[in-house]
Amino acid sequence: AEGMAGVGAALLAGLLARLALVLYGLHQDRTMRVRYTDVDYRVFTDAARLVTEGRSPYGRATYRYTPLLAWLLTPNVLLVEAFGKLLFVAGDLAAAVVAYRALRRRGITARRACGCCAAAWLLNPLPMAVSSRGNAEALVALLVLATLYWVEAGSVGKAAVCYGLAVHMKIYPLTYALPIALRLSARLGRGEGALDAPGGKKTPAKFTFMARLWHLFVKMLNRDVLLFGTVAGSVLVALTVIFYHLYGWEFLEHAYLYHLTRRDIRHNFSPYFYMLYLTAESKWSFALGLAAFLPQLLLLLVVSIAFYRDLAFSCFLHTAIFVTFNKVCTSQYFVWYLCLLPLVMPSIKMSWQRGVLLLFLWFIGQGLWLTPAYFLEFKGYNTFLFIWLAGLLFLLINSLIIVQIISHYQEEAQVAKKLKQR
Amino acid sequence: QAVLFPDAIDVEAPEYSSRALLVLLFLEQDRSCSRCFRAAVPVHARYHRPGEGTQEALAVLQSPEVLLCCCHGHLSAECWEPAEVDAPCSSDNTSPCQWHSTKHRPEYEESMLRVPVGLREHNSLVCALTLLTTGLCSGLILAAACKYGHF
Repeated sequence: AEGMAGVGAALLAGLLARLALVLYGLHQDRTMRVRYTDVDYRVFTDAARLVTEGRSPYGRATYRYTPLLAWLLTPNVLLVEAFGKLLFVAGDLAAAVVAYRALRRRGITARRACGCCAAAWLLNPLPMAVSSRGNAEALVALLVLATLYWVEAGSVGKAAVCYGLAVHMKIYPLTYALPIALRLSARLGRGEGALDAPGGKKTPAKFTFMARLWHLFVKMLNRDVLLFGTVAGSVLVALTVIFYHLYGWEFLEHAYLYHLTRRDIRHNFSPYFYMLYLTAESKWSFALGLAAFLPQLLLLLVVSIAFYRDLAFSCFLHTAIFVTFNKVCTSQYFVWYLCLLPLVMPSIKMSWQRGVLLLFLWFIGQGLWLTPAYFLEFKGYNTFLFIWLAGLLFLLINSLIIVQIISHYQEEAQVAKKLKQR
Repeated sequence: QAVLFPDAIDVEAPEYSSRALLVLLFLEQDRSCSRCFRAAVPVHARYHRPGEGTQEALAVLQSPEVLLCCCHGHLSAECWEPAEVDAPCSSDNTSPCQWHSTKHRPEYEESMLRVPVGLREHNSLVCALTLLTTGLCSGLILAAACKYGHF
């Protein structure tokens, strides 16, 4: 009962803070020149208006999302325009509840679980700002958390449905396929490492690296993994077919293909932005794009295999690496890994001074980027070199934080004990 | 009330793959001043090609042409001339109307927008340092994962 009171208080605090920001946003939109609401929210609303008129949401230029979002936001047009923001705030709170229940399921005390959710998500200014500005990231965060919760709980079917929906909304959860497959295949195993030889004994002399990789691949083709893959694949294919039938090629082009081939040469947090901008028309453009993609891919593979036993940690690292090394990075993307931070916090044994220092460095890195970006965008100064250098510094800071998190990670004793009991 | 030609614009195309725009603004008489018409046009610069030797790209905004509609009983000297220009009647009604061009003295012949752009001279330095830094960072993370991961 004490635990529930704590959770209720944290949820209430999170709700009030977000509502306050939504109201402030309405005020700033009306009075100041720089609008609080994100451009994306206007795009969603315009697309929802087209849907209420019975037309395709892709008639709205730059609408690059699933039609489900336009359908969900039709009350923006029919009732009140702030409906979407309230929906995203509700998504935020629901995500916090799912994270809390996932932590409790693992055996974390109520007080600690509540503290992690509050500190990392409910009272964190970044998710608050993202949802109150009208970005839809909260919905994908909720679906991802639900997927991870159901995988840990053993309901493979429900997890697969949430996963299929999540991938349909945003493509990045596709990278979780490998950690989830490894995790599902390991539930039947005996807590061995991913590359251990068959039989669970470590015999490095007898089995080569390639043999172990093959064994890993074979192990992944078990019943749970196949069920997960089939259900998630069916959900994804069903949604794609329905929307293709309704909206045609436009839907495929804007909702999926655009995100895969996107080259954004406008300034953003990515360390590659200036390089891609300067070489946009040269013959090296493709090779450089590939050179940017390979470290991302290699790191994702290595991290999946190294940490698959703790699914939340593996996914957190996945997303953090994906966002940090991506060719395009905006502040909304940070929500993708921040939503997993409550699940990961109990396993990271770090002194709070170190934690606060890393957090401080992270915000300083963003501030150092935002300052020259403001001067470029709103004052017209040529600050490209400063923006580029700030981007590289931010990359270094993010990598340092990831390395610190990895080196201070300790698997919970509870998890190891449960695996021994199986 | 504004009408754009062409009306289907790719708002995300960079400057060098976009075509020139024509903007028609339909103005009402200013309430405070009997022969004044006011309009404010926001201008948003797109990404121009990186410059070679210069830090800025120049975008030229031609001085506006003023067209007069001799309708609704507002007559003036220009209405005696034959109407020359075909343009839409209003922003909602796309059927063509006859507009008269006026002779007026613009304050400036053209306005110049200076857009900051990247410099091509930075090309090799930027590519080298970017790839070096990302290589270094991936190496650090790889080392940590190999050291602390369970293989």
